[in-house]
Amino acid sequence: MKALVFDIYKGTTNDGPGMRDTVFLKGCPLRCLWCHNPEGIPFENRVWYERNVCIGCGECLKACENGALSFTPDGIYLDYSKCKSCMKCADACPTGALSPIAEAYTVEALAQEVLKDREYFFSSGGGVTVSGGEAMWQKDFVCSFFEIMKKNHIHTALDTTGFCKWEDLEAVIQYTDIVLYDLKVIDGELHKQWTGVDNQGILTNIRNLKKYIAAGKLRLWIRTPVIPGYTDREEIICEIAEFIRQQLSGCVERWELCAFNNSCVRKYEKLQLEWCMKREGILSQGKMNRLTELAKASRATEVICSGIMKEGKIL
Amino acid sequence: MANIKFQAEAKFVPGDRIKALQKRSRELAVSGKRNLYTANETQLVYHWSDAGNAIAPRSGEHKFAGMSLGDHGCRVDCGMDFPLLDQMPSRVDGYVENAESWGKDFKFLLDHSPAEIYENETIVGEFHWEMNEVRKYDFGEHVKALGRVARELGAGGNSHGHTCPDYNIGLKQGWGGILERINRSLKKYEELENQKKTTFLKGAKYTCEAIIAYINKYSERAYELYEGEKDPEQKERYLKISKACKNISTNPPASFYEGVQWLTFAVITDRIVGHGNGYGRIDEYLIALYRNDIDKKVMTHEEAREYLAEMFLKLRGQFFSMGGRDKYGKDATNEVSFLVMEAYDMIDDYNNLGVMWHADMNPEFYAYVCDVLARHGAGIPSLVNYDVIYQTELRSGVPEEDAADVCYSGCQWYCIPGKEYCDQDTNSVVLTDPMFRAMDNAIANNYTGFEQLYEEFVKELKKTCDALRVFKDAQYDVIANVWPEIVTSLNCHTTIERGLDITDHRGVDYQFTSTNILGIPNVCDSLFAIQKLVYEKNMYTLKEVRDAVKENWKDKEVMRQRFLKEHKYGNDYDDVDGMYVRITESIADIMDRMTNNRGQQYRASLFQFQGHTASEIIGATPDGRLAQEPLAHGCNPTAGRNTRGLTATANSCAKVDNKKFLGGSLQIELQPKFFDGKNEIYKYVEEFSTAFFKKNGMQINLNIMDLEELKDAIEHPENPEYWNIIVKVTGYTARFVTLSRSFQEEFVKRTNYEGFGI
Repeated sequence: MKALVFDIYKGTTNDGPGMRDTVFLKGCPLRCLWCHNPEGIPFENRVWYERNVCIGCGECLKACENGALSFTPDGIYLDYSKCKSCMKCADACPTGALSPIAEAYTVEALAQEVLKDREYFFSSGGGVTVSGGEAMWQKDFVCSFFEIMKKNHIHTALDTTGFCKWEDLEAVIQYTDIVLYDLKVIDGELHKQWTGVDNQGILTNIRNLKKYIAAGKLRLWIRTPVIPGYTDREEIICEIAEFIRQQLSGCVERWELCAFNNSCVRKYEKLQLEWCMKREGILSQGKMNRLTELAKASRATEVICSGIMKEGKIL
Repeated sequence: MANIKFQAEAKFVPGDRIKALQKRSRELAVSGKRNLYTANETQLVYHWSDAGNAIAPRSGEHKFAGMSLGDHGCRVDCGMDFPLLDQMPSRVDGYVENAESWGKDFKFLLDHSPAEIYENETIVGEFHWEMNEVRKYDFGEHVKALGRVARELGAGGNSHGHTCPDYNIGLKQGWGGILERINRSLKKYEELENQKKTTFLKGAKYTCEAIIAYINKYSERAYELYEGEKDPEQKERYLKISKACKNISTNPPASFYEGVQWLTFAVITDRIVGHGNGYGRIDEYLIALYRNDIDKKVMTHEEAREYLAEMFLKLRGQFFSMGGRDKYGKDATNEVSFLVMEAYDMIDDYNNLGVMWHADMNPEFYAYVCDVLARHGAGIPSLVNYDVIYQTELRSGVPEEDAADVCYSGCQWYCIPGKEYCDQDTNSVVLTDPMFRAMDNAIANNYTGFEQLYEEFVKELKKTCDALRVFKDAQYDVIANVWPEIVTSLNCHTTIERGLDITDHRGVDYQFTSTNILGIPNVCDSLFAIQKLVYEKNMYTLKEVRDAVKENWKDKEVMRQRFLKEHKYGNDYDDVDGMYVRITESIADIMDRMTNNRGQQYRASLFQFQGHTASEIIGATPDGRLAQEPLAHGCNPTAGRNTRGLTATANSCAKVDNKKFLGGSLQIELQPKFFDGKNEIYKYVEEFSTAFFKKNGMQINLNIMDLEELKDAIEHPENPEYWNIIVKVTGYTARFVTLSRSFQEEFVKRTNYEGFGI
């Protein structure tokens, strides 16, 4: 069994307890307007292009058999409609400006890769996190991978949107120590508008986790991306707080408000995609503090706030 | 100023008196008066150039403009030559190349150096001239010629200090006790008519007497000041200084305060020699005096902290170590270990401290150490794996009871105090040289396989090492007469009774030859790329590669990019890391078989302190590096090539069997924002370092600062906001603004981890 892995963060401290290796699996059914990993959306592998690294040698044009590449004043143009993802251009590219987004890993190879960091996991109470894309859409791979992790006494975390079948989630959490669950917005209509999918299943799935948490078999952290113009409204945060308080009482260890940043703008450029948020700046410390205070005041659970913020006055 | 460093609340706030001393110390540093210089780029790369000795003298006939290594010098530059230069005994009576003549010069220099005491001080001692400014230091034409041969083949070296005295000796015996031993030994060898040994011991006698007189001079000066002072508090301080100096000029220190003052003079007189040493386990030195004073309630913990803080302000970047294990394998951490860290924590000014972690270390202490390191972000202290350096000593044949004493003594080297003279950090093998010769040979012989190239590389490396050995042996034969390290020898275990200087054959028991290896990651990446592109993919011939690097990749950008694109060391890729391990094993194998003329083996260090910045001497390399780009720093990946996160780099670094080497530290630059919004920030440092050490990593130098923001300090050194930015340059720390520009530029190019991925 293989899966396409588009990144592995080694020794990260942002995706669960302790130091962790976070594995990003390709493919996501959601279309969040603010998506930070657009290269992770398609389920199939592709090549992408970094203009700054390109030296304009033209080796890729010689290698391409499908006429998908052409020179422009801005560097190479990649016509995805003609590209068959054969990766010949990436092989020929001397600089790595053209490169495959992901690499295929077997469960065993992936396990071997992350186990290199086991000392760091053990010393810090960390482990592995599987993220995406939406990792749940490759639940068999995740199950097998986590099974190997558990055999090696490695702590496992699932980072998920929750947009999946309950049976699948239930299968994966058998091998999962903690779920990092995204709650973006409670209002179904807004959720559909902003992410392209309905959130009824997402909310049901998280409620279903309760019995595993109550039985002490699972821990749960909730993460909310705070996006300027979307989820940075007070009422959105209050609704999530209310949901946690009423529906998930006592089950959520912590709720993290993750401040938006636009550092992924380069990824959109590499994919030749427009991004509606490319000019959006980072949030102010004041605004994030205010939302965090609001979340804390709800007494729903422990609240933390993360991400890059700018110093300065409260907006 | 933007946040170059992590902003944290101070744990200990210095009082007004310490603040005044800090201010003066900082002013001296920022005005360049504490800078340490190296002669030139050749010196950086080969640790040897005909132009001068290792540390460039700042005055006198051997004066060099030099390159500033930053403000980690002990000497305070007063902007003038030693006024009595022409009256030096070796000029008046004629220069004689031996220890007695050296000792006479030393005594003259000390006798005519002023005793300076400044307001608010309780710990005193300051000097302006070093021996290499006033006495000839020349190895002679025979040695120089061999040096040129070695340099031609990619090696070089010096023998200058870089060892570690054991101050337990002097702290227990006092300078008077040491002098008595010298006199006894001198009498013995005079009776036995051993002229060589009596010559050394006469030099030692001059030296020891000079130190006693020098300390007495401080006592007298303090008394003069006391008599003329009106302010009662200041008056009391002068009297206190006078009494203490009187006592410790000959006697062992009787209190913690006197102990700290004793150490200050010991280090200062050692630094007047002109060379750098490590100074041993400070917590072991002072614990008995500390406990005695605390038990008798004659001193508070806070007072003790201030004494140490004052000493650090005086001595600046001198190396002391803490922690480790004792002779019984037990944790050697004690109250003074905490105290030393607190003193640094309070003054937030640089000092080259090292903490020796081991598996059984007091967790409370290590947590505090990591807390200090994280909050100050300046690489202080260095974290060292005691269990590995102990093994390194054992592996070289040092018996357990001596090996147990080993301690962190300099940038990235370790030493058994008072028993070792190993040229730590003073010899250099430039690994690219044998690689280039191997390529030339392989081309000339039409070799068709990578293994043949590699064999040729090993053969050429052996040739380089042999040239170094011949050169070093010639140095060793004359060093004890050219430049005896008598001050250091006074606090060594065997020197006085054997009548031999520490630098002399068998002066101390352990006289290995340490050798820094420059450019291992570059040679690794080069050979790996050659293996892939020349021998596996057949895309280029070896001659094309050799020609391309000779021309600094001119008109070969596509080719260069392909060589850059191959896997690079430092990313936890087993293929290229395998090459790294293979090269280090080859180095260890050659060194293990090499013996100096003291009958002791060579030992390699996977580290070279600053030669990587002088990259143009070395030229472009087949790893895709241009001539003008810095080489890799020690055993760290070349800047910008480690792209897979901190643990990946750490794992690559830890794949090497570190006990076969003496030095090789992971240098990390973390962005302060890594700690944003996180509590208990020390935990990350603690957990990361513990895991690295459990994997047998050797040393960690950790800076926490935003390198992007630091770039502005290169252009605006006059901005006082930058004056206190202290960085761990390599194994030593310095104020960023006092570094030579080439060092500054290399520093800000390093990989700046954003917090293990966002």
